[in-house]
Amino acid sequence: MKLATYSGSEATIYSVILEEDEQRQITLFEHFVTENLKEHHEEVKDIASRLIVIGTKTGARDIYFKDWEGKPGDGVCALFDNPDKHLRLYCIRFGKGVLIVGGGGYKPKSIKAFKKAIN
Amino acid sequence: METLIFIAMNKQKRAQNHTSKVLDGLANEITPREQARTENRMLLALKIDDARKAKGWSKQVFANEMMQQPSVISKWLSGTHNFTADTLWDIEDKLGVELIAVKEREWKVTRVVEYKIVVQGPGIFTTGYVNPYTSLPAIEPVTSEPKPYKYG
Repeated sequence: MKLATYSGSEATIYSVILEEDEQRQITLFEHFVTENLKEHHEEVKDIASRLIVIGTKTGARDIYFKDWEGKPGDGVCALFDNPDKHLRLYCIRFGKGVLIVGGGGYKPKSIKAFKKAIN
Repeated sequence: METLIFIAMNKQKRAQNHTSKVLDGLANEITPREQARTENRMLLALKIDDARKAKGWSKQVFANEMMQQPSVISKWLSGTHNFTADTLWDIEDKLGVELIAVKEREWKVTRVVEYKIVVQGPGIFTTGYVNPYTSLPAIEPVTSEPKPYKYG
């Protein structure tokens, strides 16, 4: 789904809807916002503001993202959180013009990438 | 994430425009001042990175020149960093790019050319002055039939 509010002439920003959310039409990005808005209000606002700049002014430049945030080779990167803050939004970037945003969350600086729990 | 993208692409050939009260409300909360600050920081990072690339420097070389760790350079270019003036002047010096304009610009008029041309036809008459910045003649509309003038 194209996020019309955040997209612009420089980049189109998409998010995805999981099958269980298809009826309610809630994207992963909306889940991210809803889950984190109360506790990390300013950081969520900051990320939204950065998405607007990416969509309307600069495009999805590689310098704004931190690579290798997912499994090796999956192309998942993180929208750079503010150095003083800890919230990260995971994305997949296709050049400067297309960005798919997913979920994310709070991550302490000591952890380089989210580690999958070993069952 | 790959599975999600595969499902999305197979179900729809064209992405639909999606709006929601949550996302729109969030965007509306951002004040113009806050948005401008975010934009300025990101554009500044972009300007520095473009200047670095113009110089043909890798991020490692840039880090060495600035005597900083590569992780610091990544922070500078992230678009979230709040630079000190001294750091910006150091970057200006190394990359040869203007990031902070504190000196008044000196405006120089390089030349003014006066000329007269003959224009046949009603309603147009040149004043004989060329704007040095646009190189275009200043044109005044006239209400009467112009008289032909031969230059030289």
